Amino acid sequence: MKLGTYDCEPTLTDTRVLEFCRQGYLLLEAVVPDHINQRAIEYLDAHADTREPSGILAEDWFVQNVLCNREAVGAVRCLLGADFHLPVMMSHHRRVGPDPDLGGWHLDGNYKYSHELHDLQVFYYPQDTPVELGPTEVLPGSHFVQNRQRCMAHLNNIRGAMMTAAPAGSIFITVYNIWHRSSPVYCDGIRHMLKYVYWRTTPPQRDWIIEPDFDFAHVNYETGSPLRKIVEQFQLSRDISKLFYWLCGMADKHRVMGGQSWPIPGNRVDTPYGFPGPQAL
Amino acid sequence: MSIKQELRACADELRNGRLTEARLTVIIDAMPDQPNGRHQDLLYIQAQRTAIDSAIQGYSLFVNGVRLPGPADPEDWPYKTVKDAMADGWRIISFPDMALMMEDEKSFGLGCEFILEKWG
Repeated sequence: MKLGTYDCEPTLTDTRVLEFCRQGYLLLEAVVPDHINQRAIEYLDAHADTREPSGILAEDWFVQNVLCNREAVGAVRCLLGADFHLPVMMSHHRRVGPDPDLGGWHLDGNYKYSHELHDLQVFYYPQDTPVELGPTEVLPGSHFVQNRQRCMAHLNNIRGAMMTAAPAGSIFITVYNIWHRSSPVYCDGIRHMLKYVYWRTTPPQRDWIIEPDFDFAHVNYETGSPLRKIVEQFQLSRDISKLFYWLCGMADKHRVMGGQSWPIPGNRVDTPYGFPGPQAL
Repeated sequence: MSIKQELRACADELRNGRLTEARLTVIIDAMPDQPNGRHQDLLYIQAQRTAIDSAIQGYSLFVNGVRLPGPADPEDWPYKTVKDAMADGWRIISFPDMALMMEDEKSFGLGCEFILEKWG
C-alpha cells in the first residue's frame, strides 16, 4: 500500500477542536484492537535494532488499523483538513525496565512556533502503559509557550504536567511543539511507543462537526488551560482564539483590539466589543 | 599552617616585594575544590510572578549534583513559594530575567525562575 493522502469523516465537534487548541493534545484510549497491538509488539521486538522501523508503514494490517484507525483519522481529519498526508517515517521509543532515568523536558527538534497547524505528532502505545511502565509526560498548553530544547534540561516537576498512562491500543495526538519527556520505568518489562506525523495538504476550513449554537463571541477560549498562570493575563485567549480561527479558515477575521474587547472572557450584557464574527447560527 | 595563615603570610610577602607566582600556586593547589568537602545543592524554582511570595509553577532540586525526582502532585511539593524555601535556609543566587517577558505577543519559558543554593 503506497502511503499518500487520506480522507474520511470528521469526528470532532467545534467544542472538541477548541479544546485541542487549548490543550495541544488529545488522548484516544484503547482504540486499536488487541490482536493488532500484539502484532505490533511482535514486529517491534523483531526490529529492536532500529529506532526508526519505518518498514512497518508497508504493513497493510498496521496502516489499516493504526495509521488509518477510525477514531484517530477522524480527529486528524478535523485538525488537518481533507486529504491529509499519512506518515512516511516511524520512530520507536523502546524502554526496558526497570530504568530510573528521569527524562528531560524538551520539544522535538525542527519545531516551528505558529498559530497555524500544518502537522500533528501522534503517539501509539501497543501495550498497557501504566505510570510504572514510564509513559510519556506532557505539559498541556505548552505549545504556546516558547522554549528551546537546550534551555529546558534543568526543568523537572511542573504544575499541570500529565502522564499519558493509558491502556493498550491508545493513541494520543499532539501539536508538534508540545513540551514532553519520558518518565522512569519502575517495573520489569518493555515499553514500546511509536511516534509519527501527519501533514495538512489543504487550506483550513470549518468542516468538522459544527455545533449550531457554538458561540464564537462568548466562549471562554482560555478556560482550563493549565499555563494561564505563567503567561501574561489573557494572552492565551489571544493565542487560542487565533489558532481556532485559523483552523476555521477565518485567520483574516481574527483581531485583537485590547482592553475589555473580544476575545478575553467576561460577564457582559452584550456582544463583546471588537468581536469579528461569526454569529452563532 | 592553615590556608588562612598561608594567605596572611603571602600578604606580608607582597608588602615586602617577595611574593612569587610559584608561592601562590602552591597555596592554590593546596585548597580543596569544595571547602570542607561540602557540596552546593541547587533549587530551581519557576514562580508564577516575580514576587517571592507568588505560587510555584515548577521546581527542580539537585542534591550533590543529582536531580531528585520529587513528588508529582504539587500539593506534595516541599515549598509553595520562594519565600517558603528561603525560610528553610535556601539562599537566592539568581533572580528572574525579565527581559524574556517583554515581548507582547509571545510567551517564553516556564514562569519567573529563581535559583537558590544551600550548602550540604
